Amino acid sequence: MATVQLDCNGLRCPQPVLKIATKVPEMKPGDILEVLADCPSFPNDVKTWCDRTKKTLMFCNSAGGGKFKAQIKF
Amino acid sequence: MKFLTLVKREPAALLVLTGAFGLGLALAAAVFIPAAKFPYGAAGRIFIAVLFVIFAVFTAVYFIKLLIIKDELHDNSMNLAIGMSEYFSVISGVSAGDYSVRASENTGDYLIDQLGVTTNKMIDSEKEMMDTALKVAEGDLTLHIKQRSEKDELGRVFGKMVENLEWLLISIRDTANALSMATESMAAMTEQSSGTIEQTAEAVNQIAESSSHVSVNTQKVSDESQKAFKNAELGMKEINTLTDGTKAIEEAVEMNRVAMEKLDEKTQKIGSIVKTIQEIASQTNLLSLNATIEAARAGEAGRGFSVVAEEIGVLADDSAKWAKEIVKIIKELQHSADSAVKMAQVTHGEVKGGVLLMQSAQEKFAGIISSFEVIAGEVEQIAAATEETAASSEEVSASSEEQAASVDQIAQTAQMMAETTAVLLKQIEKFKV
Repeated sequence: MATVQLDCNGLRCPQPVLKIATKVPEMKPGDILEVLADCPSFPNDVKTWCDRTKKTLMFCNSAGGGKFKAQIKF
Repeated sequence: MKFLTLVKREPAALLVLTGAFGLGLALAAAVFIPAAKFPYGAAGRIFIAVLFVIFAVFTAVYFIKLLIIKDELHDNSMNLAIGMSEYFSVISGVSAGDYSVRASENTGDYLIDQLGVTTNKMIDSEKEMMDTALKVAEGDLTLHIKQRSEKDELGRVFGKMVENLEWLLISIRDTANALSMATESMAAMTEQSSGTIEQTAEAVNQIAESSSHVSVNTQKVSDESQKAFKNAELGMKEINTLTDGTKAIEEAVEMNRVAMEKLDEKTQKIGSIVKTIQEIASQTNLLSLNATIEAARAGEAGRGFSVVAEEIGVLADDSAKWAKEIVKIIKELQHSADSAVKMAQVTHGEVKGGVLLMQSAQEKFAGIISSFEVIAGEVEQIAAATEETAASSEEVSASSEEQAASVDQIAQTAQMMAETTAVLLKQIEKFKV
């Protein structure tokens, strides 16, 4: 049950999602991926990705200054 | 964003907004640009305002179009990204050997779908290869491996591998069969060898026994020849002594002969003396006759003389008579002496012959002695050879025992080999070739 950090700041859609995808093979069931991003479309994108790939989006909050923090449970 | 979504959903509102923006611009132009600047007065103003409105409408429409394209681009890129994301998971699984995964073939993105189709084909063909490998693993080597294309190196190599494996198994089976036959004949040969070794051991024992007999006999021969050698030496000594004696006899006989000759000489001398005595006696007789005649002439005076003369005559006669006797004895003596000389000569010859015989006997004895020396050497060699034979027999005997043990081991090994080969053949039967 590890929590893995992934910094996607400075990346624009759809790069954050692709970066998340590259992390998937490393994750085990129950692991949590915490993603930081500043792409404006990130909250929508991460939600869409979780829906399509059947992952649980725990939350996606604004961290201030146009930044977001999301947690995905595998 | 909410505003944009609203604009997309309600274009009329946007038109109103755009018109207001155009009117605003027109009013602003009317207010801030002096009327004198317009060439056609009020009409000119209206015209300019309309132009602004048209420009503002076009700008707004184009802006909305751009926004819509941006949204579509975003959706497409998200689609592509999610498709890529899913595909990444699939390809990661495949790379880890997981063929239970399948790529999505209807993501909505054509390229990703085609990638999915091709990847699934690849997964299927890998699965097929795996199934074939499973069949091979279960022992079926008769199956044919399909090549997916001309460039299918894996298929070609796999097919080659199965083919080679089949050939290998066939050759192993043939070899195992040959080995089985060889093992059988080896077992038969070890039995034969075992028999031969026993016979050899028996023969060697006989040789050992014989050589021990030979040894005993050789010892006897040695002892006997030693004795014979000593006897020959004694004989030699005796012959030497005999020869010395015979030589002494020869010398004595020679001396005897010389003595006899001397005797003969002396006897002849005596004979000549006796002859002289006879002559003297005859002359003495003649003288006595003459004396008698003279005495007769002398008459009485010569009577005495006549008696003496007569007496002398008688003595002369006696002398002649005894001389004759002596001559007779001498003759007898000479005869005896001659016989003795002859005998001595014969004896001398005999003794010489004896000496020659002795010498020949000596030579013969010397020959016998040297022969015995040679015999002793030969006997020693025989003894040595017999000892060597005995030692060799022992070695051969030990070797035979070792050989017998080796043959036993070989027989055991052959037995094990036969068992192993049987197991091998049974294992090979599991394969279908």
